[in-house]
Amino acid sequence: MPKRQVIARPIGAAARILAAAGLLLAVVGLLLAVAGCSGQEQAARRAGREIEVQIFLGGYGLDFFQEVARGYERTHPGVKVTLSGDPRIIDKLRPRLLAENPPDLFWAFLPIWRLADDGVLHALDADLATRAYGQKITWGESFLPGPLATTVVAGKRYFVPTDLSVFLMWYNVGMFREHGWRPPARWDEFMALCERIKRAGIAPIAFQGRYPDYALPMLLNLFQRKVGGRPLFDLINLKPGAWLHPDLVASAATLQEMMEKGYFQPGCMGMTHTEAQMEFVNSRAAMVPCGTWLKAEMTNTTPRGFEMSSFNYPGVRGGKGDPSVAGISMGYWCVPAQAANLRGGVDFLKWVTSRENANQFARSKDTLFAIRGADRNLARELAPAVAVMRRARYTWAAMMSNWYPELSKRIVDGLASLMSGNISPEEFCQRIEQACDRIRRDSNTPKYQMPVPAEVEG
Amino acid sequence: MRREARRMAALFLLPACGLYALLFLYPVISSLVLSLYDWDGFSQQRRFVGLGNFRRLLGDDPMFWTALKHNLFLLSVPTVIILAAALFFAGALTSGVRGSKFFRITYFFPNVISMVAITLLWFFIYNPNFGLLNGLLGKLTGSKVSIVWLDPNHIMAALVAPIVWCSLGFYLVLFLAGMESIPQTYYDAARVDGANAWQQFRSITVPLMWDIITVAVVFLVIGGLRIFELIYVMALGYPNEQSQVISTYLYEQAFNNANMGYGLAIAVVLFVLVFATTAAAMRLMGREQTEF
Repeated sequence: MPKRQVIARPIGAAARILAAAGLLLAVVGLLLAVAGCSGQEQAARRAGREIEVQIFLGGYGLDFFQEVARGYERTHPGVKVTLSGDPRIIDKLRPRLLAENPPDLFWAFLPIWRLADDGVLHALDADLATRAYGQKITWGESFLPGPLATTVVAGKRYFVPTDLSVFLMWYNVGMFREHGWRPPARWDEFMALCERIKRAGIAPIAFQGRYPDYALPMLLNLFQRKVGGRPLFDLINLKPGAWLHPDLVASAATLQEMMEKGYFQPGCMGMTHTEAQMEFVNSRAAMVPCGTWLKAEMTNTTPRGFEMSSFNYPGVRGGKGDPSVAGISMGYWCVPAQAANLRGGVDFLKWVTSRENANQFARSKDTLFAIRGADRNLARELAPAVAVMRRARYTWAAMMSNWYPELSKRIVDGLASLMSGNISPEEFCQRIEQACDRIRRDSNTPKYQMPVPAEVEG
Repeated sequence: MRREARRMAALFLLPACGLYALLFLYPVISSLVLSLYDWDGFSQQRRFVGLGNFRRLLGDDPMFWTALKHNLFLLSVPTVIILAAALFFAGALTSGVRGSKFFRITYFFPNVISMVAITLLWFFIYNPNFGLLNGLLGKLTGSKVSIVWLDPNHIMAALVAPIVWCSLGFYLVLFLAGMESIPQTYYDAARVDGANAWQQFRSITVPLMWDIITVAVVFLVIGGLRIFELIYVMALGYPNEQSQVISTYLYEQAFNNANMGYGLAIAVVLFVLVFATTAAAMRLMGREQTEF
């Protein structure tokens, strides 16, 4: 019996070794096959026959972009557009960017300013000077100037803006009609309106307190209304002392006062964006500050018959700032410098941002788009936003939050503390100024500048 | 033959050593090296900054010290509560209360649930509008309670309860095993000498279980310094200055802020902190072993 065991062991081991070797061969074979496939794809992309596009899969879905890709293939015979999306697109892009084997075009919430600085992205200046699809103007001229101005890194443009949002105050139309309330034209009227709403037993403003950056457009618009645009652009461009401006302290104090007076819904600092917006669409709060994505975001949870509209932040009596000015944010699409089919990536990006496609996107996804003339026939709820964008003397975007994520975090933390009453408005401004100072002193952090529009007042 | 056996042993150890080197040593050494660079984690562009990341972290980053303060809170307050509660319940269960088997399973139950699920559970318990806690307080007080437990003013205190709830069972089982191994005759002799329950606990149970208590403290200290999921999920992926801990700050810097080099410097400091705190805890609690 022991002898048989001794004989049996090597046979068992040999069998196991053979099985393991077989498995290893199978895995290697599979890897080689995959590598072969990707090699073929790479060759097709190098030859310009294929364009690989990777995008963030969020609220906009993939359907529209797939339809656009099929349209491109129809008008460009012999070219195949491979488009894929993922909610965690960054995790997919990171290894490919590191391996210098990126897709030909991507849309993801990456630190693209830093990537541009590191030479990872293709500069689009020459392409922006070429003719736009379906128009007699250049591709660059087809963009709204405000959003396009946000794409400059060291004098060059490495990405283009696509979907666009305007930060507005949304209100419950039915509730306003029932109580005879009207959108305010001045900030003091806005405060009086909040008081009237509160006295009616309704929370004046729902607020996404778990993400206090929703209050930043309110704060910075109020500041601009008080002092004009130049000091606002100084804040964005981290000019020394800009965050200590007395009118910014006063604006922060107004925000805190609104919280203390109960104009923001009690308990709002623990609410997520969806919870706060649910309070609004369920008529437990009369207003909510949000970007133009609100309508699309709440479509599935908005009760039938609920009517929403919006107004731009009102002006300040005696203020130097133009009240038509609007705060915006946008998404950006980029072409990597190492793309196998760089020309294809650029051309498909031009196609996506053609006026026709941009307008189709805005209509189907209930949003705005950073292309001139892409705002036709949008949903009724977006009409005020379209009017704001058309009337705006200029637009501004909180670019410092995009350029310096650490500063963005300090601003968000500061807003949370300010609105919770844990710090004074002066302390809030000092903290942000200190964070700006750290960035100014840090030689490792690349510095960026937002060009000040010629129309800026102050 | 001995040489043959040694060679065979080396051969069999090789895969394990290889895997250890590949999956542990290589990442640790790489992290150490990369912490000396300014690197975004997305491109091949890296700039050697020497100890610059460490200088900035320890000398010019108030958020790191805020996060460390939160870690110290989360490794001290829950540790004291867990140790006291686990010792108390273990003592109660070994004294032969009715249904002790049921209680053992009940206390241990949270240990089989994933941390993310536990966090989500508590997230709903703390919900200001429909949460269990406010509902319970409302019933007790007879009026609507809308305390925002996860707002910047309450979040640190609110984190203690889920930590205690999910850790208690493990330490309870650990202490139960220790207490059950102490011979009953020691207690009988003490009782004959007139010692009360507290004296028996202080003079017999604690000294004989000291090694187990030391292990528990070390585990809790390591857990308190490495805590991540609970904070990350509770803060919906965006811990702020009221809830930031070192590991979430590491994640934020490395992955959200594209400061991979700086994030790795935080990882290195965290590694040193865990190592030093563990060593300090073991040294402080080290005493001559009581044999029985």
